[in-house]
Amino acid sequence: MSLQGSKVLTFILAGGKGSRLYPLTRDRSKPAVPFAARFRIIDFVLSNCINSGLRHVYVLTQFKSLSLESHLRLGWNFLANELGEFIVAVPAQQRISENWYSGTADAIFQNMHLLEDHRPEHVIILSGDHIYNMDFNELFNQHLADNADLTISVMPIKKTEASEFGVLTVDENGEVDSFIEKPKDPSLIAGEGDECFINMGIYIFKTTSLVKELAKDAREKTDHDFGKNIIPGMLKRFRVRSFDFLKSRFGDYWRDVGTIRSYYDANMDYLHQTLKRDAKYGDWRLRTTGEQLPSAFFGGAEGVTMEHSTIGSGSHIVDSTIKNSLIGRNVVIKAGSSVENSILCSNVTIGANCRIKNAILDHGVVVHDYRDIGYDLEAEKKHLFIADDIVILPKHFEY
Amino acid sequence: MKGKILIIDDDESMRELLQLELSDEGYDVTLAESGLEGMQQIKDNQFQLVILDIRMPGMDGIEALEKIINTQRGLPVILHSAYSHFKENFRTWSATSYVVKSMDLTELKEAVHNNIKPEGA
Repeated sequence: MSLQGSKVLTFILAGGKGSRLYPLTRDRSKPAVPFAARFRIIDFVLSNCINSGLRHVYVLTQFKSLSLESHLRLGWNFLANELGEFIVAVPAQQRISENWYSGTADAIFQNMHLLEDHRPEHVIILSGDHIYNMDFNELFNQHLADNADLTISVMPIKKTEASEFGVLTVDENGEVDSFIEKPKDPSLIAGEGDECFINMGIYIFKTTSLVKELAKDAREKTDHDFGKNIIPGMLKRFRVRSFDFLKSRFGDYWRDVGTIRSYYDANMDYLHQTLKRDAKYGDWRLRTTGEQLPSAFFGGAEGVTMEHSTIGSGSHIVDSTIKNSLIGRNVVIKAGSSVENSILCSNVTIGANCRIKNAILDHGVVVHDYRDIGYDLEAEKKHLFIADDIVILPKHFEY
Repeated sequence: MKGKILIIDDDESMRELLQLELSDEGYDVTLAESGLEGMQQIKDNQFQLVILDIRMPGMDGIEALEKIINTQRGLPVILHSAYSHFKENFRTWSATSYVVKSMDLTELKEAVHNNIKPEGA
């Protein structure tokens, strides 16, 4: 059975503050943070939705949502409204409460009227701040075959990294038999050494089961959170199954880019995957917003040396060296400069004779002539923001 | 007193019937004739249970229920409607109980007895 045409409603939770991604989240929420100098983080989950045939998608926003809502309007407003299809941002409207959403479950509960309006048979709930590709049809079909009330996508990771996530144990039939949010001592997968199953924040619920549990949770004093309250409370009372992401079509990559280091590494992973991307993903397109720009230009008397990098359209690079970097659209790099192991977002300007390495330059950053970035962290930290040994120049910063 | 109950119903005769019957049972009963008036009563008083009509002009029982859930977490709410089809509406599912109106108040009294929050809890 295909998701396209099925009575499925999708919610994307996109209210994440992303405090640990500061200063990239200074003016925007985590899902709106640029990725690979070309996309936004939320483009991954939205592309997965569209590629999977999901056409009824609400994006629940909360903090600093202007950038995200603008991105959705400019880049994702293409579905056929006359056929009832949509991707719509739903700001926290404080419709029934003067408070912000108090947890992930509360975000859905406060939008219960949308469930009542659509009366779907199943509800998919996704996180807007993860990097992965996934065909949700695989998840949906297992969910139907299992006649599950809730199916959770899970993946194994090393025990040492698991404490940041919800950790599950499952029995031989895939039934989830325990779930603990951010445990100090995560439970291992039986027979798999030091690996644990973690919750990826990808859920499909039978609608009636979801509403029952949200209603019950709403009456109680809890954190109103899927990981802390809803899922643990459903075990043993409902049919809660796991979906093994590792065995799915694109199941070898999923990242929660919670810190500057993990964000930077995920960007570099994307760069390294570029060579094999077409072969691996085929028509599984990653889309985003995009203005019409001329092709990138490389020139100058000595020319441009470029190695293992991507360059966005409209960029203009003269007599420079680019190595192992992601360069966005409309980027200007003047003569005699070098960029190495870095991410330069759109509309960045690099002056002449600059050296930049291990850095993230957000939209519209301007670097004047003869500047070095990433070469003397001790000295630079007096003027620049540095986290995890990566220099970050926030949006429109001038240096 | 066995506890303070707020009755929100736009039907005067129903309000009076419930007040009479529940007062006889030993409850301290307060009346409100609209969702808005009920919300003000809830703001100003400590109730142990609310009996809430659904179809009312202005703020209806469904909207009032959502507001009560968000402002007075843990306060039991019994939806009391002449219509059973509202049971299908997802937005009514967060009520503690749903009783269809009847001249025989046995079911409603049982729901009150089973769900009223102990004073001070």
